This record gives sequence, C-alpha cells and structure tokens, in this order.
Amino acid sequence: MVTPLEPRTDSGEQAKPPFWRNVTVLKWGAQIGFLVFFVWLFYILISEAASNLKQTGIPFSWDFLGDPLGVKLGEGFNTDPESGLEALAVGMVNMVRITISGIVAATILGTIIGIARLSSNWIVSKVANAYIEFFRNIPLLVQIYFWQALVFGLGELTADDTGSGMYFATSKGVAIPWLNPRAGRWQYIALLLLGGWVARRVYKWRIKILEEKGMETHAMAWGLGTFATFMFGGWLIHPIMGVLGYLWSALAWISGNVPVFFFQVALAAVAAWLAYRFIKNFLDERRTPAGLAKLTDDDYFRLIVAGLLGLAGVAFFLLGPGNSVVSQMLGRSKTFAMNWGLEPIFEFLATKFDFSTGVPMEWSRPEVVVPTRFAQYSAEVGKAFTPAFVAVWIGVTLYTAAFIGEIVRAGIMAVHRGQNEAANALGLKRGQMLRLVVLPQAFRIVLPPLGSQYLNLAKNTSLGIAVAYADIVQVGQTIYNQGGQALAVFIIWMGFYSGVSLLLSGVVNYYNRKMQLVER
Amino acid sequence: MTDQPQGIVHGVIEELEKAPDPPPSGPWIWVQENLLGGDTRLTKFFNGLLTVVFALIAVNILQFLTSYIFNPERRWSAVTFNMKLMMVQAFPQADLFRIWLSIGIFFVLVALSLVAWGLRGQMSLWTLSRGLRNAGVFLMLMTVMHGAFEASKILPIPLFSIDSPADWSGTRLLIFVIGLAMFAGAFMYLRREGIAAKDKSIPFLSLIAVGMGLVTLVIWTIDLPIPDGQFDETLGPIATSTTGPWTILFAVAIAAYFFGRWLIGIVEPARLRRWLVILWLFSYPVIIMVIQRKPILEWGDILAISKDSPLGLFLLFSVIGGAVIWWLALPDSLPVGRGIAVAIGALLILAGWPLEFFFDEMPALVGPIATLAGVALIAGGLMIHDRVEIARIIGSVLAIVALLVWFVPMPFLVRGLFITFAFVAVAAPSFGGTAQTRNNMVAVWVAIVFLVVATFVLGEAETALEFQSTTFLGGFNLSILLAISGVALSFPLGVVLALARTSSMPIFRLLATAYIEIVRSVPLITWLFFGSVMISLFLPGGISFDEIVRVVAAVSIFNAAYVAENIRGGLQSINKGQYEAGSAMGLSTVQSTALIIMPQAIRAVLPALVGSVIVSFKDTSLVAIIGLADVLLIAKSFVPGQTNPHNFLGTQPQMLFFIAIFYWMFTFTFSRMALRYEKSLGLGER
Repeated sequence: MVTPLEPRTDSGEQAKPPFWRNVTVLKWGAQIGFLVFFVWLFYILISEAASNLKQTGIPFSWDFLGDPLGVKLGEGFNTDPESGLEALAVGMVNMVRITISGIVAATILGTIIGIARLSSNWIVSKVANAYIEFFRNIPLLVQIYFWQALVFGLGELTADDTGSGMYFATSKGVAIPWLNPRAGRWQYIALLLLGGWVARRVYKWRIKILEEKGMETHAMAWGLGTFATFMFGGWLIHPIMGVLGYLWSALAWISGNVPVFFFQVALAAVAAWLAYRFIKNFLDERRTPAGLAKLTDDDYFRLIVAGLLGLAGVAFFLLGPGNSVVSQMLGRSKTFAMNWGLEPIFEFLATKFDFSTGVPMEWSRPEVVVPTRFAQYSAEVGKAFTPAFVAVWIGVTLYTAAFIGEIVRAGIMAVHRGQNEAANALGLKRGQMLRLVVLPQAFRIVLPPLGSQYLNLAKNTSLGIAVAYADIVQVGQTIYNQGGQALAVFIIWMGFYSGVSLLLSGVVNYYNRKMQLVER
Repeated sequence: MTDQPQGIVHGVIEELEKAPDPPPSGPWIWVQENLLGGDTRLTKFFNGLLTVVFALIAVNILQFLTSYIFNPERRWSAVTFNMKLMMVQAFPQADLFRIWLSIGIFFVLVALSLVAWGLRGQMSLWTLSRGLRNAGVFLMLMTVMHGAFEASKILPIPLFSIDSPADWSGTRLLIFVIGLAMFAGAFMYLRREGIAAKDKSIPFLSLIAVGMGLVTLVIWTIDLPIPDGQFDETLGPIATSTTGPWTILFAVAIAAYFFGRWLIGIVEPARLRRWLVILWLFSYPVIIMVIQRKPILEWGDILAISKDSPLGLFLLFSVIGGAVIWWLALPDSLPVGRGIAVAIGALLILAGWPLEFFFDEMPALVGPIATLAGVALIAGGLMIHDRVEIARIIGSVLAIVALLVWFVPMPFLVRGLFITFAFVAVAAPSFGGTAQTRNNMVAVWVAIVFLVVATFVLGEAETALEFQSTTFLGGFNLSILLAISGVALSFPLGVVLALARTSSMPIFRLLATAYIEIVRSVPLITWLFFGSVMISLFLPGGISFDEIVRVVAAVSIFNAAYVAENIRGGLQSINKGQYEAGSAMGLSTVQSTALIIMPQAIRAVLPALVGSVIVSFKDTSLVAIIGLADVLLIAKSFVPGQTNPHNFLGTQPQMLFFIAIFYWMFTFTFSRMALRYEKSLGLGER
C-alpha cells in the first residue's frame, strides 16, 4: 500500500503532479463538493419540511409573533402580553433574571464550599465534601421537583396572615424585604453608572501614582470611597441626571425624523468599513520587510469570504429588505403589532429622566393582602417569588455551586505552595498575600471552567418548564401548542440561547484574556 | 485511633535530623489537630467556632433526614409496592423472565470481563475496617439522633421543623444494633492489629461477593413495608417475586466468574478479550430487540428468495457488495482493475442496470448520476496509473452514488444498505492491502449487511408482548436505553466532528464548529422537544419513527457535540511527531488518523468521556418533561396519582426523595469507579 514516489524528470527536479493529485485542488474540490452537497441536503430537508407543513394545514409563518397570546403567563414584567413577541420577551427576561441571580448566588456559595473543602478543620471539610458529592450526583430535574414539592408542602397563605412581616414562606411562594424602586430610580441608576466609571478612573490614577512614586496610595480605598460618595450623595442629587432626558429626547427625534435612507447608507458604510478593516489588517499582518509574504489558499479563502460578506452587508442595507429592517429598528413601522423600535425606547427613557425628586428606592417589608377571597402577596411592597421561581432558583444555585466548589478547590490547590512562601519572604501580610499573589493566580486557573459552569447554569434554567416557570422555553411551548408553529419557535430558542451563550462566553473570554499570563 | 496529623508540622531542623518518632496519636490529639487547630489563640478560637457551627449544621441535616425517613407519616410502601412499575413500567408479568435474563447476561459479561482483564484489585483491611467503623458510627448516630433532641428548637429554620415522633422503634433498633456491631467489630480489629492492618488486604471481588450474599440474605429474611391489606401475588411487591431470581442471578454471576477462570486457562487472554468486546457490543441490541421485545418473526417471508425479502437482499448485497469491496481492497493487479473500472463505468452509463433491478420505474435522478459516475470511473480507469488511486476514486464515486440513493424513493432497508455500503467502499482501499485485511474487510461487510438486515427485520416485527402502554420500554429500563444508545450512537458522529474541527480545511472546520457551537449553546430540553415534535417534519413522506427512536436521535445529536469537544481535546494533545511518524511510514492521512492518532487521542480523553457518560445518564431524566414514562416521571406523577388498589395520594415528596437517592447511588458509584479507573490508567501524570 505504499504510494510510489513521484517520478523524476531528467533534470532531477520533481515533476509537477497532475491536477487530480494536486493537494490544493483535491482539498478545495472536496470542500466545495461537500459544501454543495450540504447545501443541497439542507435545501431538501427544508423543502420537505415546508411541504409536510403545508400538508398538515399549518404552513410555516411568523404571524404568531403579532397575534395575541390569549393565555396569561405565570410571572414576568407583563403577565398578560399583547402579542406572541411580547410574551417571548417576557420569557427571555425571566430567563435572564434567574440566570444572573443564580450565577451570583452560585458563585458565592460555590466559593465558600470550595474553600471549606480545603479547610484543615475536619468537620468543615467533610460537610463541604458531603455537599458536593450529594448535589452534583443527583439530576438537576429531580432536585427542582423536590424543591417545588417542598415549597408546596409549606403552610398555606391564609387571610390570618394579613399584614406585613419580615418574611413569608408558604405554598404561594416566598416573600422577603426588598428595595422597591420608586420614581427617580432611572436617574439614580444612571448616576451610579457614572459613579462606577469615575471610581475606576480614580483607582487607576492612584495606581499610577503608586507605580511612579512607589508610595502607598490606598487605591482600593480611594476607588470604593468615590463610588460610595456617588452612592450616598446620589440619593440627594440624582435629579441632576435629568439632563440626560434632553439627550434621550434628541435621540428619539433623530430616530423619528431623519430619513431612513440616511441610516441605511450609514449601516452599509459600517459593513463595508468592517470588511475593509479586516482585509487591511490581515494583509498588514503578513507584510514583512521584504514585502507581502506568500498567501496560502486558506488566506485567499478568508479574504474572499470577508469581501463577500462585506458586499452582502452593503447590498442588504441598501436594498429593499434593508429598508424595512432599518425602519422597524428605528420604530417607524410596527413589528408584529408592537412598536419595538428605537424611537419609542428613547421616548420612554426621556419620560423617566424628568428631574423628578424623591427617594429613588425604598426599603419595604412584604405584605399579605386579601383582595378577593384568596390571600396573596402584595405586589407593591417587599418582593414575592413564585414557587416556580424559588424551586428553579434554589435548584440551579445549589447544583451549580457544587460544581463551582470543585473548580475553586482545584484552582486554589493548583497555585504552587512556593508562591505562598515567596510572598512570605517578601514580607507581605497574609491579606496582601491572598489578594496580590494567590487569588489572582487561582482566578486565572478557575476562570475558564467557571465560565462553562455559568453557561451550564444558563442552559439549565430551561428546566424551569418542568415546574411551569414562565421562561422562554415554557412560553415558546405554550405558543406552539396553540398555533402549531413548532419550527419557528425552535428557531427563536436557538437564536436566543446562542446569543446568551455567545454573550456569556464573550464576557468570560474578555476577562480570561485580561488575566492571561503574559508569556515572555 | 491512630490518625496521622494532616497539618503542616512546623519543626526546627534538629528535630528533622533525628530519627522520626511515631507521631503522637489519640483521640484528643486528633481533635486538637483537626477541629481546634491553629497557630494563635485567635485562629484556635475561630476554628472552634467553625467546628461548632458546622457540627450544628451537620447534626441538623442528619436530624432532618432521620426524622423524614422514620416519620410514621411516610408511606415507604409506595416505593416497595411500585418497584416493578418504576423499573420496567408496563412490562407484562408473565414475561418478566426476559428482564431477569437481560440482567443475567449483564452479570455474566461483567464476571467474564473481570477475569479477562484481570481486574483483581485489593483493598487493605485498614481502609475497609476504618470505613466500616465510620459507617457504623454514622448508622448509630442516625438512629439515636432521631428524637434525641429537637434540633428545630436550637436552629429555628423552618426547613428543619418537619418532625414528628417516630414509630419505627423496631426498625431503628435493628439498624442501631447493626451499626453497633459494625463499629465494635471494626474498632476491635483496628485496636488489635494497629498499623499492621495496612499491610493486609483482601481481594476486592470477594467484597462484592460478600455484598451480594448479604443482599440475598436481606431479601430472603426482611419484610419490606407493605400497604395495608394483603397482596395479590400477581401484583405483589418486589420482595415476594424477586427473591428467587436475584438469588439465581448472584449464583450465576459467581459461577460465571469461576467459569471464566477455567476458560482463561485454555483460551488465550487476548482472544477472550476480543470475543468479550464483540459480545458486549452485541449484547445490548440483542437484549433490547430480541430478548425484551419478543418480536413476532414471519420466517416464511424472511427466508423467501426474492429481491424484496430480507434474505434475498442480504445475499444480494453481501455477494455483490462483498465482491466490489474485495476488489477495492486488492493491492495490485493494475490492468485487471482498470478493465473492471472501465467496464463498471460503461455499465453505469449504458443503463443504470443495477439500479433498475430495485425500481419498477426509473427515478429521474438516477440517469444523470449514473452517467456522471460512469464517466468518472472510465476517466479514472484510463488516466491514472496507480492501482490504489483508482481504487480510491472508484470507492469514492461508489460512495457518492450510494449516498445519493438516499433521495430516490425505494424501500427503507435498501436505502440503509446503500448508505452503509458507501462508508465501507470509501474505507476499503485504505484498509485493505494484505490478504488478511482484505478478507477482514469482506467479513466486516457481510457482518454489517447481516446487522442492518436483522435490525430492520426486528424493528419491523410486531412485538408479541401484551402491555397497556404505547411501548414495552418504560421506567428505569427506558432510562438505561436512553443513556446507552445516546452515548453509543453519538460516538461515531462525535469522532467525525472532532476530526473536521481540527482539520486544516476551512470549510469543514467552519461547518463542524458551527454544528458543535450551535448544538451546545441550546439546552438539551429544547433538543428533546425537537426530537419529539419536529424531527418527523424533516423526513420524506411516509417515514416515521417511534417517539423513543426520535428522542434517542435528538439525544445523540446533542451528545455528539460534547463527545466531539472531548475528542478534540485528545487530538490536540497528540504530539506532532506522531503525524510525522505516520507519514514517514508511508501511511496516508486516513490510515495514520485511524491507526495512530485516534487510538491515542481517545485514550487520552477517556476520563472525560466517562464523565460525559455520567452526565448523559443524569440527563435521561429530562425525558420526563416531554412525557416519556421514565423512572422519574413514574415516581413523580404515576405513583402519587394511584388510588387503586392502594391509595398513594400525597406521596410525591417522598417518592422524589427516594428517586434522588436512587439516582445518587448509581452516579456516585459510577463516578467513583471512573476515578479508580482514571488513577489506574495513570493519565494526567504523564
């Protein structure tokens, strides 16, 4: 089976192989052939699906996004959505809500567990170990069902409970004290964002002084102090952020009145510019002092694809579909019975930044009210969580915390003991040693697996459907049970979850690059 | 009580240079080291505080568990009475021996494998007796804990206040006595032997045998909780109908072990291993499709000699296909090969005759495809002077033709045979060569044809079982099926995806990356919905699969992405020198990938693959959401919904408690075994 060597010509040079043995030709032939086959297969599957759908009498369409849902959702910012699209938006927000709060809680709990696992205290380490082994070996769904059953097993909420208390835990869910937003919160939040930015600048400024002069500048204290100033001072002066209202009004006017064509041209220009930048950077990277290095066929492939994508972007934005997409984005025309564009968003923001005074948030205790025959938690004060939310939240948090605990333990153990000793030898205090030497190194090891656990948590919230938590999967299932558009709903799920995954892994990768060891 | 102190021993150098004294030991020192340790008074105080807090937490959790388990309100009879339902759902009582037979095959194969791979681990008596001692303490604590004091009064956490006086004093006392016996025995042994116990060990297998003996003893002697009233024998609880089968199975397993010991004396171990691998591969399909399914086979139709009958197709494909593959795997005989290539090409161009054989009317697509393939074959036969090249090109063309046949209307079985032929035809030129390998290729092809035909015939056949459900699979049986087939089917696809993702060809890389990333970013539950609701949409009219098959397909699609990522990790860990060594030996890319790179890559990531098997076992519980009656759905919904013959309403929390422990036992055992295996491989240390 040994392929004979290439025949040699008289001059001693190797003969050029015929085209059917040329590696480049074979390689690209196979790839393009497969691509054609793949596209064809895809086309066949899609057309098969289209004809099958037509036979069932429910042709594929996106109309359900504009049609009223007709069912109330379990929870969310709007439990009685006007359209399918709004219902899906409610589901998305619910999913994001549980994901973010779950990530925060699981990280804190997991870190504690991971450190406890390493404790020299026998009982602490055993309890942490038992926790990890118990929670990570039981399917999450079983855990969520169990928590749901536990919540339903709590006492019933009755009219006798009327009035306020520190907390309630009944079969109607859990209610706890909460910072409830009041008018002016938008201005306050804007001020806090500004405060965060300023605090960061101050921190960097102090660090710079430290590096230049070598004196202790208490950069951390300065940064936190700045933020605290904004936090407490902002309580009084937040109305000044009302000036942003003018900005929002101006943006609303721009998105409402500037001709659509202008935006189309601008977006097309952005597409063209991106493609140009990519090609230029690509070529610059390969420019050696002697001129451009020889480009391989892969390089040509990349350049051609980048150019084609840029052209496609320009064509898309300048032609008909671009026009309708851009005008919907701006809010000029309705998208599925709702106006989802930029103009209404900016107008909404403009009404919120109106120099209104008063406290932005208020601490309040939950209250039980009896509006009709049945007692329920007041929506105005405190914060009530539905049994479904509690079950899913506790479930994903405890489950993920077990995995995070193992990751944290491995990360800390991976930091070489010599690092501690070196820090000691430098005369660092214990706190400094942890903060400046051990934790940054452990964090670098921990971050990639931690990111994949966050992704898992985000995906695992979809199990909320088992306890009827109104996240995007449950809302989507409700929609296709009503209208039969399973395929369209599946495409939405795919798009949404891919977006969330991309965003999460983007954030993790950003920090990962920042923390990466700079190789010499 | 001679625990080694775990903390860092700070000592001066002189002390280190002395001959080491045995470290001081004793319970008090142990407590000082492990519960109240610290360098300064402050850290000691802090450590003591931590000990108290965590001890309280541990005590509370134990108290919660015991008060939950031993509460008279718990109706554990719901578990014992419905054990059969949870394990096999509606499997008919009269055919239960089929389930026992399946378990028996599994036991026998495990026992033989233990012999063939020589897994005779040893456990030191030190570890064993310490484990027994601690378990004894734990058992005693659990029984004594209950009612000893009301923990809810110490920590007023609502979760822990589910308590009421227990009425299980008899059972508790028994458990206490067992715990005491375990503790006392182990403690006395440790006291007597001391450190010397570390050097003594017993075989691991004998422990398993003793464990099986104990289980047998338990099921013969202990009455499990039963619901009020008497049992109808046919509906009886698991205990009354399973004592016999379990005992026999244990005996068979032990007998199989000794049979294996005898066998390995007369058969070469490597040979035994090879046969065992084949048996393992075949065992599961046979168990599911033949033993458990009890198909009705119309032998007259199957064995008829015609172009539509299974036997006819088998003969046709194995003879013609085998001849083609034998020829493709030839090392030389160039002129003959060229002649045959040209002849086949001419045939294809002329009439598409072989295809005409299968269709009554010629589909539109076949003509052009056959012509193109024929032109390619003749061109290849005439222009290329290298035998292997010709074989490769012919193999590829045949493969493409065979794949395209997918879109031509024809019986499903013929389609499947064409597809498998495509893959074998492509592989033949690369893996043929010597007379030995050529014969192997043909043998493999005939075996594959037989498997495809047999699978098809068995899948088509009606089952003779009588049950009140849509499928004979249910309960834990279904969970196992989903876990095994999900992993097994996703593996080949995962390998291909991993190769494509690490390939140097950008379009393949792009497609594989897109597949992997999109599939992984979407949660499994949406893929299950895809499987149960949407897969049928994409199939050509007339083809439909059972829901379980569709769900298995969806699970495989999902798992393949994860398997691919794992294997990619393995591929990236392979040294570049391995590829170079492959080409230096004159192997083609396909050959070196299949024979050199892949085996090493898979070996490197075996622990990760085992981990993903555990994950996929846990994930099978998700099918409860789409309404498949797996063990979780039965325990969560079916059992608490029963009112007749026994009322089990309101038992949902305890059923979930049971099912949590049930899953935990499996995953925990499995992950521990995986850990042992990983250590024995010595991976990560190289």
